Amino acid sequence: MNARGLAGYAVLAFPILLLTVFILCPVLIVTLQGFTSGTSFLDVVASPAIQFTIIFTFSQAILSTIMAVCIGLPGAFLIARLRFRGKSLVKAMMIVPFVLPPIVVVVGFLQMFGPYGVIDSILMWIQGSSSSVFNLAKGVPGIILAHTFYNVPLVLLMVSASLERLNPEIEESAEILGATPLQRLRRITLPHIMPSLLAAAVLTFMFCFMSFPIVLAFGQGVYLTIEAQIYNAFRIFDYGQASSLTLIQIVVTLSLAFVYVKLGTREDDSGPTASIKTTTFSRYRLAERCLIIGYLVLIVVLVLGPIATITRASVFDPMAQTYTFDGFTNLFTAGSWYLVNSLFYAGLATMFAVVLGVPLAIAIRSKSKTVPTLASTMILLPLGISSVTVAYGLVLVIAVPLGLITNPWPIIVVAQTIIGLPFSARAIEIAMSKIDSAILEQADSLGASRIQRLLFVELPLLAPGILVGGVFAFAMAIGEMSATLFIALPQNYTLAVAIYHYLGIRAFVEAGAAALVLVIICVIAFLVMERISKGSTGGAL
Amino acid sequence: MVEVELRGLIREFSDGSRIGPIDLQVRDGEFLTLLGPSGSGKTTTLRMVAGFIENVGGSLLFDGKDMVNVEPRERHIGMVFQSVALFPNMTVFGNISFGPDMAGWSREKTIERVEELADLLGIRHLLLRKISEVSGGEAQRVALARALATNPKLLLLDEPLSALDLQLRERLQTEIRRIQRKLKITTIYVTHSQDEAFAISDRVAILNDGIVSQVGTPEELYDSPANEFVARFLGSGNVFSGQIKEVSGGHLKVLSNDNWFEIPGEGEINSQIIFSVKPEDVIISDSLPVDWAEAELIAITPQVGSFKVSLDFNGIPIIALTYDEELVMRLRSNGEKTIAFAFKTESIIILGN
Amino acid sequence: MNTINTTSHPQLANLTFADLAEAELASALVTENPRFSSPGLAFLLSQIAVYEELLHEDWTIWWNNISNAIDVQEGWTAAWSVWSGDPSKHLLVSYGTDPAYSANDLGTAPDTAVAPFYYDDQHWAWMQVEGVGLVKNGPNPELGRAFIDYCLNVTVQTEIPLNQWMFPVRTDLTLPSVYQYAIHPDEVSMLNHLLSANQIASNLTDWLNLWDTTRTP
Repeated sequence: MNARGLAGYAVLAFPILLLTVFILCPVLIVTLQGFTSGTSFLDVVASPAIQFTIIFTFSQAILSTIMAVCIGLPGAFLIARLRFRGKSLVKAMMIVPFVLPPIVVVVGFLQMFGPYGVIDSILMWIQGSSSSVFNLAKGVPGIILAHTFYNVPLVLLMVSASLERLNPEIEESAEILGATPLQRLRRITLPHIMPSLLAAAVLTFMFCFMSFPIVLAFGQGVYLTIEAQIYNAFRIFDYGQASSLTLIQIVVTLSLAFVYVKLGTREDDSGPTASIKTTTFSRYRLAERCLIIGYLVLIVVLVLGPIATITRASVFDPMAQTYTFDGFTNLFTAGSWYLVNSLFYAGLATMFAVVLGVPLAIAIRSKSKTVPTLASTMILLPLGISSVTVAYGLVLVIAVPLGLITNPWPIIVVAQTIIGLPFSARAIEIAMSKIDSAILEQADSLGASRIQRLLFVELPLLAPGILVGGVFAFAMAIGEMSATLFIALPQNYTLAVAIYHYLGIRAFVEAGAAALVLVIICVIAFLVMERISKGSTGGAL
Repeated sequence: MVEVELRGLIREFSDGSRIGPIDLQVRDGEFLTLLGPSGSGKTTTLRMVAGFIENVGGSLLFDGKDMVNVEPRERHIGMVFQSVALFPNMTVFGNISFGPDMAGWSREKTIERVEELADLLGIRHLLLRKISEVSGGEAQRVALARALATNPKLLLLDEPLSALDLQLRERLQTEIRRIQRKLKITTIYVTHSQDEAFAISDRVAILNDGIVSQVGTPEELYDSPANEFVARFLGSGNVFSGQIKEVSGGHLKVLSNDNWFEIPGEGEINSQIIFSVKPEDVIISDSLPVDWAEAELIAITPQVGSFKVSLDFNGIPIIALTYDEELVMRLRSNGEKTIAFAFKTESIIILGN
Repeated sequence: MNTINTTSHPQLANLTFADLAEAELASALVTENPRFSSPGLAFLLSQIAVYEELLHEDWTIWWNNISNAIDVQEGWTAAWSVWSGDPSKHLLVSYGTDPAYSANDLGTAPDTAVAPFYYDDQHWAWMQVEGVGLVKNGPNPELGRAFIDYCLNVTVQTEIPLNQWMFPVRTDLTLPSVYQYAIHPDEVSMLNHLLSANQIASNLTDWLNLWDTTRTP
């Protein structure tokens, strides 16, 4: 191997090495060490409370997935088939929940479905009551609903994209061959969208399975996911329990990741996208129109409502039932460093996520046999491993030895980088795959070295993709609450962590104000992404 | 098998464009092709017959019964689409048996029919293949078998061969014609390729800008184009326009492009006239006879058994066909640029005024 | 002295756990998670002490009965926020000095009172002790000891009542006037005495696990 090949390997190895040091090692060490203390694996699995938690984690994930699919599927058909003004706007808005941190979702949900929230206030006014009559933002209903909110857009976008790829002449063939609309749906349309539908379902399940902030907020300490229980286990220093649960989690998520990758390899392209057959609203019968409107109302209430009502949450105090700006004043006086921390940590994390994302993306696309799989796996790791375990691993393996424990902000940045990495690497990889290789060959034939080609040809072409990846990573990093909650001391609190603590002490207005700030940041990030990628951000999924 | 009549079939679109009114008769068992340039409305017309277009005015009669308001799935039509559109999640067998499945045929009857069609189209060996493993050419046959499975009365084909290479296309053209003749099924075919239309059709309808320009057998169309559009589209002639200066005894003297031409026919003095001459009826000469018109030689293209001579007649392009090898050799060797040409008078076709 | 208004809830004067399990009081009760909160742990140990040592009954039954009704918050701050913000939650597992805090905050008589438990003709409560200790093998034992002495001096001890809301360890100080409303350790029997340190040390993990199980739906 010549020097250039060696240098190439070094570039690829560098991020993989970093990821090994910052994720793999800490997690492995913590997990293995954990088995030597605290509750043994068998005792953990035998404990009724843990069994309940495990069963609950699975059942709420299954239930949430079913609900997300049931609610999202009609919407996918509407988006793909109905022609209406502002459709691209609606599609774009459907992506907003992805970039919203879960803790912000909690605030929005409380405001929409919780006591003295929007729906409650309306019902109270109708019933003439002065105290709360409606509260859906707690317990199992709250958890399932919040999960559904988060994942309906995912189902909707993935399935509608698949529907739009269905050659309309295939459906026409079925029609002319005598198939009724129901038969067409069953024999043609559903088989076509099944891969995307299953992929969306798997992703939804994984997300709900690993859910942490939503469960912490609504679970009342009784309904916990495995992740939340890991968090508790660390807090009571039962490392054995934490390790055991982490292991169970990894087994499940690895299996799911495998399934997901397998699904992704099945082609569902049925040929040229001929002019997509759309119809206008007026072409539907009255009964159908009512159904469509009813469905749209449901989507508005469930998905757009919680986002919109965060504005109200930032100024409405449900305890005193008055409107006030105290939330903002308190946030920016007593908590002025929350915003600074958020921006600073996320900013650094984004830089690292992008810098690491480029060589990782190259690694994924490399022609060698092992490197792409290795790189892809390393990127997916953060999504499948307990954030709390990673956080604890970082504390134990890096912060303590380096004496950072009095101000552990560097490992907060590391944790946020890890969270953002899958998104930056994926966006950059997609951008790379779209580069016309003819351009690269042209550069080669003109005498450019690999480095020159990278710096002067590839990177400028990749710039939009890098920006999109960076902004996505930023949104993920700034909203990260699991690892940050675990690591942060009061001086390290970010907005996300602050929201959680505010909620804990019932400072709802302050929580709302902080949530609004985060929403604004995330929406700006999202708009920047849309602008750069010119409306194809959905492709980044 | 059915007789199809399109009577005043028309569809207006929201952008102001319009297809129709179309008046067309397709006889029982006939192979009729809709031919025309892109945007002429041939596919839309076909889709109107299939029932995929809403808000269609006029009538569509199958053996006298108006089908305009009948659902596509009840029109008992077989259709092959441009994109072939086979069902990707089924095997070849599954595709072909889809129609019978929908119609509730018994298993035995379905299998029998599928095998029969597979034999007819030579795809017996493909029956258990997945669609992704079927090549072009094979796919068209499967689509045809699928369309014919339930014994439809009418077969519609929307440019089914346009994605294939020339050889494959010609082979399949013959197949389609053979099968159609054997089954005696009324067929409407859409293509933009004149060669294809002329090769396989009983009659051809030429569409232009949403209406039928002319209907007839290939020979009728070629020999007697009804108007300038048809003539130009078919390339069946060089088209000229001029002014009638003299009328005498069944002949007209026409001034066109500063040259005199004698044309058989009737007309009014000083009125405009458009006429066409087929390439093989243009005689060229390098000896420049006195009363012949002159044009500049642009190119000579050899073809199978003849030569295509391109001329420029003061800005008007003329294509002439000659078999005279020696003339061509002379023209080539002495680099002569000016050529005289004349028309075989009897073969001049008047297109209109 | 602490005075309870027993007009609406007369049972508060002689409160037993059985009273708390009744729907009327159970739905108004906010307590804390014994794994993460010392008042929460104190409450659990109180209940275990009473049932194991006084009543000789299975303590988990009480928790199973009351499980759906009571509100268990993670820590005292969260629990206090619920109690102070929601009028329907008027019972909080908290400190005996809370009435003093209330009087100090309002500048008048307090709007908060404490209801100790009543068994065997006595009032009972759990003693909470907070302190400063020297970490074994720490690098500066001398400095540490000096700091402990500092904490024990009059100046620091005088600040404790109104800042830490605990009784100072020095008995030669005058307590602030608001402390008349607090419950003094001398006024109640210690539930702590019912359980030995060894008993707690060897059983706590199991007790906490059992408690988790009672909380499982």
